[in-house]
Amino acid sequence: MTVTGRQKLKQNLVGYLFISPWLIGFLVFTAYPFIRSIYLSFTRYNIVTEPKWVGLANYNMLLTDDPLFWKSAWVTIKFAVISVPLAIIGGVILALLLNANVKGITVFRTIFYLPSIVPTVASSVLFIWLLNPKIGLINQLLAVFGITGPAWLNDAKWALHSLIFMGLWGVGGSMVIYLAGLKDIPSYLYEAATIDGANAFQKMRRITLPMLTPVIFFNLVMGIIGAFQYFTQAFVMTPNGGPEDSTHFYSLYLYKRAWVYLDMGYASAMAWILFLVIVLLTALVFRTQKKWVHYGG
Amino acid sequence: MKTEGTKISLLNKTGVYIALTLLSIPALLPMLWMVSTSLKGSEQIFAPSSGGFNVSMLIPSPMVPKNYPDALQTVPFMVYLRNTVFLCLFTVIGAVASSALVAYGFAKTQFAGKNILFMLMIATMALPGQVTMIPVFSIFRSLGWYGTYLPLIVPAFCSSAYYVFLLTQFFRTLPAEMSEAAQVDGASEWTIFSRLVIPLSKPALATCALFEFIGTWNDFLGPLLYVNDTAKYPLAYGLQQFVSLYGGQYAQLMAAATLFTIPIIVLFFFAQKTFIQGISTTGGK
Amino acid sequence: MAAKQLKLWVGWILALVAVSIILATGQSSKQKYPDRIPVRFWHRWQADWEVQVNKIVDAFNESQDKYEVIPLSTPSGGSDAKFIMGVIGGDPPDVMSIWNGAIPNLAANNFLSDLEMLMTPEERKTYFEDAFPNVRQSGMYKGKVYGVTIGSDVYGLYVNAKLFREAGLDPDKDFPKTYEDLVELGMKLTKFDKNGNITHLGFQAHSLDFTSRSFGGGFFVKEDGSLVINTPQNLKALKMIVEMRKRLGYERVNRFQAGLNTGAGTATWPFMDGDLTITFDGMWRVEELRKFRPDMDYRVYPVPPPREGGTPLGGNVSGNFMIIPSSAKQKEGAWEFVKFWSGLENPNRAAKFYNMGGWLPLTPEVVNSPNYQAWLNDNKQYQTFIDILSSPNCTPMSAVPYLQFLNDQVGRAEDQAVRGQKTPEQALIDLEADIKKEIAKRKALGYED
Repeated sequence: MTVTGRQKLKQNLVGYLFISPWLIGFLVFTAYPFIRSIYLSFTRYNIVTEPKWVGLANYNMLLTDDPLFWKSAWVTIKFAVISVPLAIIGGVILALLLNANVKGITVFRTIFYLPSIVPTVASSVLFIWLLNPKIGLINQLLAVFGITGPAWLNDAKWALHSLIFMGLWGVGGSMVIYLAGLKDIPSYLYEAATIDGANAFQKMRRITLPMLTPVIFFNLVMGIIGAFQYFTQAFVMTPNGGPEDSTHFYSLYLYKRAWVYLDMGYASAMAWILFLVIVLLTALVFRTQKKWVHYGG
Repeated sequence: MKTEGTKISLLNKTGVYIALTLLSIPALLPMLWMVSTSLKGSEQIFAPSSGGFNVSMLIPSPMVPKNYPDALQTVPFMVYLRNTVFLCLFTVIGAVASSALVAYGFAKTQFAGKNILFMLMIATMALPGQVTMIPVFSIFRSLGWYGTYLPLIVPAFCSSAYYVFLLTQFFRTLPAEMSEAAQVDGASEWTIFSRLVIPLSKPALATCALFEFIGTWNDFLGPLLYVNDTAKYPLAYGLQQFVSLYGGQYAQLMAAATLFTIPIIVLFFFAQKTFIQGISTTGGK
Repeated sequence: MAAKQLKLWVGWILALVAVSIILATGQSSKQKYPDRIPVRFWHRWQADWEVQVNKIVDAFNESQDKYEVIPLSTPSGGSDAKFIMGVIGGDPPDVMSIWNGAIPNLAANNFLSDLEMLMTPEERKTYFEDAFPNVRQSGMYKGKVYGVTIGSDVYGLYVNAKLFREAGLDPDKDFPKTYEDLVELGMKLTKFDKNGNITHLGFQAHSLDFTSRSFGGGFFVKEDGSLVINTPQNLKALKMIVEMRKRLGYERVNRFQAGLNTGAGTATWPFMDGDLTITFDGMWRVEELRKFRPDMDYRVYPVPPPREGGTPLGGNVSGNFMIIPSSAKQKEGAWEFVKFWSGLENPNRAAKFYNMGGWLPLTPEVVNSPNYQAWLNDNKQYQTFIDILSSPNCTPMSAVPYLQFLNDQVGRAEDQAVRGQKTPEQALIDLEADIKKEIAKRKALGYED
């Protein structure tokens, strides 16, 4: 089929019509705040008085003279490196289990989704108790096996791991996405494989996992973005950055600079450094896409 | 031809049950604990901690169901509920419909600059909201929307990058032959979108709807920033009213949190039917 | 098929329109007194505290017929942004209560009204002559009044009288006179089990920012910009804290504390449960004890100075202050409300408001009023806090825009030293260097101070 100029124009028009809601939203609500925050990152800005141009001063101070910047960046990287793969593995396994055709599975699905919907104000109190070094359930259980558990949130070595561990609780959220992905795998693929004599393991490797890669890819990208911006739980559980700054996440420091110290110019510079890192990583992940993500279409 | 999940043997079935039951315990804990605390009296909550875990900690004695009516009296529950339902209705419809359109555009149509725009859209999620909050706010203010629900509703109709990306991933897995066949029959892109792609993507669309619903249900910061009238706040704001540094109304907080959570649990339980409806039940193959 | 779908769509849209009309017609909240001038008041209290605040607001609305104060609770996590956006959005509250540590930064950035402009000459005279000087200063920045307290906080030592007697001591006579003796007594009263775990804590030294004031120290930025950070007094206080923690065992205290106040669903205070003999805490605990442990026998003492070079009745004052945004629309009404609540206008009436939360008042006139004296008579131990507040050694925090940064860093330095990550000497050297760095950064960016 040859594509004439007219057809091409029409194709473009149709495409742009489809994406027009986003395009309008981007132009009206997103573009200006983006450009504005780049500009602000080169200024001294207290929110109320007019921003004052300071050139690269914010970036210069961040990169050369702010130990907490590096410390918080390091905490965030560690968190991302551990929690992103863990969440993906956990989410996929849970979704596979919950995809089983057994009685009462709807009840189980609801149960595993529960932790994602219990309000933070309620669940954070529970976690502080669970992770309590003395009377917390976790250390009580460890004590049964003769192990003295660490002080968790109060221990510089364990605080970060405690938050990662807490994150696994919320894996039900991505489980729903994987489940939707599993439900989208056409059944004829499995039927064909059964005829070919494939066993359950082979079906998993050759059909289920490859067909799930677009969703895994999605969760990987969103996991990276989410981990680098991790804020809410850290703010609730360790608002001051935890023992020895071990849970002083980048976004926590950024928040303090922006809203507590009213140092929005500096915070904007921090945000743009974070932005560049995330975009770079995401672009890298997108590049690998061709190698492992399988689109049926 | 209908499959509801992977078919498995009896032996595996037992294994699945054991695994699920064991994993259920930690998953259930937050909820159990929340509900049990909501039924406790302050004597039990404020009893000297003797240390050590035992099951009796989870059992309220005596039962104090009065926490629930008390909690309902502290805040105008029905007013907040009405506001929340109103907001949820619009954001869910707006976000899902617009995101599906945009995702179809990115996944299934060809136009100049598609890849660059797609990456730009992904990139918009990478900048922390903390530094764009003020410029975004000033846009709404200059539009005259400050003090109304519009800043909370209108952006939802402009699609969300998260859902667009998610739906794009789903749309791209749909067999290309299907739409090609339809195109040969002379169907327009709109027909393919509304008659073929949408019915085939119900699980993904339901996921987006669920996420948007929960997002709006839980959001207290947005309404707090843009609305100034107490009678216009949503439930999430009402829940925050129970959070106090010195927990005098601890049981009421948990009662309010329970009331706050139940509608979502019910919704999820029934919405599952939509997740289960995979591609195979729609008669496409 | 197409017609059927069309019908479905039309049905949905009609239903949506109908539902939204029903929902959107919900009325906005009406003024109770429609013919009065509304004064919008934002605060950060929730739950039972909000109930108390609403009572005070009602009392104001009933006391006169010109203004109606409309309260709005802005929950923490959102209140900073809500306030700042209200100001830049041209729709700020008329009056708001904030923690005074935020005043210098907000004032330096022109967020706040100079309250002296709203005072009549008599009010100005009363305010400057009557208010506790340290409390008044806590609401000032560069010589101007930006905040008036509606409840100040100071800290003291709570003593469990029953446990004191069990140890063979008289709670009225044998309380240590020096900080060194307090530490020794604290060690003596601490109990361990056979594994070396702490089962009862006699006393633990902590909170460098506060404790240092009893050592003649404290963390300040002077008016000429020079720093009072790495001083012998502060080092002595920090060393005392670190050494006591070492003797108790860093990890052991950690475990003990963790096992206390955050038990299964308890938001209680370990002192109430008898887990601590002596503990350093704020004055609002008196009101909590009255509510939750009315029968508890206890005493309150000021932090004793060290053997050499200390200051008696040393402390640090901070608290909730009323501010009026510079762009507020109803400043006169706001000021009326501030006068009403703070007791500048009628000390005896305001005494009741202060007593609701066990808060410390603006002026000695409130303390001496019949209502306050009656409450003090029921809560005798509270007098210690008034003594501390009245003392010249109880000082306000430095009024610099980077105050919150300074406070955060002092806390970090103490934490590092207590954990053994740094020696006390090094922690203070680094702290001073960090503060200097921040000041240099601000200078380079063109801030005035």
